[in-house]
Amino acid sequence: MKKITKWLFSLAAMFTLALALTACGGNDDENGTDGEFVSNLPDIRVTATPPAAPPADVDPVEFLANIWQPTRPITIVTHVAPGGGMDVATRTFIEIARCFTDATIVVENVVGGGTRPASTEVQSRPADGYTIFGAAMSNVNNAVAQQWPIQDYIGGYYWIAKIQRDPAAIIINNSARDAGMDFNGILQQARDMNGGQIWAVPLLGGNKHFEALLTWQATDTMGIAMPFESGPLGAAAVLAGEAHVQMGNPFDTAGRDLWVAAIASPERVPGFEDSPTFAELGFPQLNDMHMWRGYAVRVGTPPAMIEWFQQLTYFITHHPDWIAYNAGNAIAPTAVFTQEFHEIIQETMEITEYWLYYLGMLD
Amino acid sequence: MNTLQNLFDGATVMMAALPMLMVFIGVAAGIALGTIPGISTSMAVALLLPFTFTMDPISGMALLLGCYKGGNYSGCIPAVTINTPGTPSSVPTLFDGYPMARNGRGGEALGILLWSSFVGGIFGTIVLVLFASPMARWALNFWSAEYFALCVLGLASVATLGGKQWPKALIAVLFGLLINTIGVDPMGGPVRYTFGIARLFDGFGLMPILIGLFALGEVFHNIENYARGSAAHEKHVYTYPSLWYYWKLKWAMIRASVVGTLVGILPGAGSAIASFLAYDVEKRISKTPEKFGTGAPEGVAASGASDSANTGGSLVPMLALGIPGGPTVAVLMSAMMIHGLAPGPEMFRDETALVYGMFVALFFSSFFVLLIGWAGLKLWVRTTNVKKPILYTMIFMFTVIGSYSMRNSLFDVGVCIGFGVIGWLFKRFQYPVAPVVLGVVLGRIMEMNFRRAVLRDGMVSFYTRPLTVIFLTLAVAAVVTPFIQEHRAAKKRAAQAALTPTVPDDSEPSDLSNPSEER
Repeated sequence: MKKITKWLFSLAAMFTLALALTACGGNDDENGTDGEFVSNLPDIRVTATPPAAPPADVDPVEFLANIWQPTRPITIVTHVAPGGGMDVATRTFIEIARCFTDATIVVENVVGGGTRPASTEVQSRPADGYTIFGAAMSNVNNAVAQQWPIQDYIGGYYWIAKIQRDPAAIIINNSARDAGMDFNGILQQARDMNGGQIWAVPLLGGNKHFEALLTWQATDTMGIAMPFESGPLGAAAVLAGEAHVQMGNPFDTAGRDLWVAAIASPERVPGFEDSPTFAELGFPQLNDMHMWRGYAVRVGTPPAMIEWFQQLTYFITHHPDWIAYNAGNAIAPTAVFTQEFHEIIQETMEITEYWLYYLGMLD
Repeated sequence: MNTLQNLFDGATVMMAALPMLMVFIGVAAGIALGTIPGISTSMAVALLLPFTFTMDPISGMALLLGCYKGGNYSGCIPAVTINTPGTPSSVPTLFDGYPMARNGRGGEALGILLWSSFVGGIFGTIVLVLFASPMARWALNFWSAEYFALCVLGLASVATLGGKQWPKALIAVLFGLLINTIGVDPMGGPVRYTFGIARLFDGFGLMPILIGLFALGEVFHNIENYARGSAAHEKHVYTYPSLWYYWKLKWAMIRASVVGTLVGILPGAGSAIASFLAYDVEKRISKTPEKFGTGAPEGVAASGASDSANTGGSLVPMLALGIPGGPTVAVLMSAMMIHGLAPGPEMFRDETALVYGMFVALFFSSFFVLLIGWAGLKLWVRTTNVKKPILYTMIFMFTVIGSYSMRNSLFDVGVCIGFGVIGWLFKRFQYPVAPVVLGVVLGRIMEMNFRRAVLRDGMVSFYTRPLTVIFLTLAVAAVVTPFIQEHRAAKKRAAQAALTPTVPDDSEPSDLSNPSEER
């Protein structure tokens, strides 16, 4: 009996270990796909007029009250936990909104599930304007990557206002910079290491990984994208010397011994005056790489509410506190509405699909 | 001298009425929220975050740091009273804390927990004040290979947790590791074992697993063995030991504080590894290791002190490098950013008064924890005197609320109940539950770091990097030593038996392990 029990133990242990190891095997097929890329994505672009700028002498409170008056609290559902980028941005947004409206706006964090539960939660509520989806680029990336029903998870929304544009940045250690390293030095190092240069990204198949690939493609270099789960841990890897470069955002360097060697911005960013733009470095095609954050409502939401929220967003994004908050985080605070935002969503979908296909991570 | 001057400047800033009041409120709120199973420390801090928006940075940080300390301490209270860990790092607290409470030593267990939290908190803060920069630079020596090796060392504590039941412990830890593989591949890309269930994309939530395995498992087990009217409700009279009693545990507390602080300094390692390692160390060096798991005061002191010291340690990388040492510190960092502060070496240089003011707030938080904890001790210990049917109903209610509140998800409630059944089955068939937690907590970190290390340098990094080699060697030694000791003891017993004249009978040889444990 004892022998049988021991055999069973060993068998169960080996089986469990085999299952675990199979799962941990990861995706080996990351060397690219040779077949011709054909997009399978639907077109979610819309034709709509962006909100007109309100007259200069208008009282914002009265102006907004004349468009739509909410009768109960509005909930902004976001996929990040309290303290996350979109959460903090939304809470700041709400704080400033108090200057313009008496409406109660609250944040609800529906985290996990690769951002899907948050979107599902919004989809499960009525399209009456009292539930807003606080989305970021990862929501669109995941919908494409995990092959969720695009018509529901992306096409089921009216993407009403993009509120932030977080520019891409190539980051190195301050000590490397002091030793004379700059963007051209990074490229030279990449060539010298013959594809062995380590680039820290949050995860493989995510936006930062795509930006790294785009950079290698544009500069005719190659490296290894290594996932470090988050921006701060990627920054730690660069500080420790485990990674040579971080593909991040300028804010990843805030307070740390790191330097932005190149930034995707039309002009130099305040606070990062010593960091050249990609265009200055001779790679204008990389100058538009960025991560966005914005708001969406379900298709079928009353037009008056959409207009109200867009005008509110207009006021908030012109408020000095919002501008200061974004400047402090090296984020461009400009608002982009409806049609232009839909163009960006479509572009995000296409970029995601292209690179995932290239990496062999998409059927 | 410079440090003293800076501390004085910090104290000048912090020791005003409002910041001190905020520290006190923060500690009280942290303790109140942390005692609710399912409300983690990071969640408690995040709940208070919006209140700081309108405060000045000093008062805001005072409130949040107080909450961090308070929540960290009180997460261990339900572990002692109702066998429910408030956080993953409080799991080792229940190994001895709960048996103590069941045996009418709840007051003693909670007292040890309180004092060890105090000692650990003060120790961690002293290290933070004196060695933040050099320790943070030391932490940068840790690459993926070192993190992997540290996790292996953590897993090696299974040998201690399992004891003679090591095959069962091995099965349990492998089960935990397997649970961890569910969800989206952490490196990005493939989805594993989700069967199309979107809620599983992130895998199972850690807290529903913990609450289910321990709290519900215990409830189901007790329900199974509960016969109505079979036994009169046993009411305990609690004793609260003198200070001398706690003084005798000082070395256990200090050792655990060292482990907790060192692991806390490593960004991404997590406080759970620290607690398990501290408990493991204490059991290994104890002269009576067999008492661990049945109510050893050293066990409670080790996990309590390590958990508390970890808070100071995890602030080191944030303040010295700008890298959060854990999820709660990440929320603290967000709060600082909202106030226009960027944690890191620049803040250390430019905002010296604020940084050292935070250190002062941490010191006071530890004292307030002691004060409020002491006042609340008699209240919390009463939980263990509640009649069983009422207590089990309350635990069930709290587990449902706790597991739901993590992500506002009924799915998590189902997960919690499911793992409750698993916990009950484990108990029924005498499988240890703790190794499952170890597997779940460490699995993801291990996998990520192993794959990163291999991606970077191949297998070479596991035998060429000194710290990795040291950790892996220690892990092997930790696993092998008990077997060698057992083998030697068996040989000794056999030799003694050979020398002693015996009457032949049908009993099993004395060098075999207790058959009852094998069944």
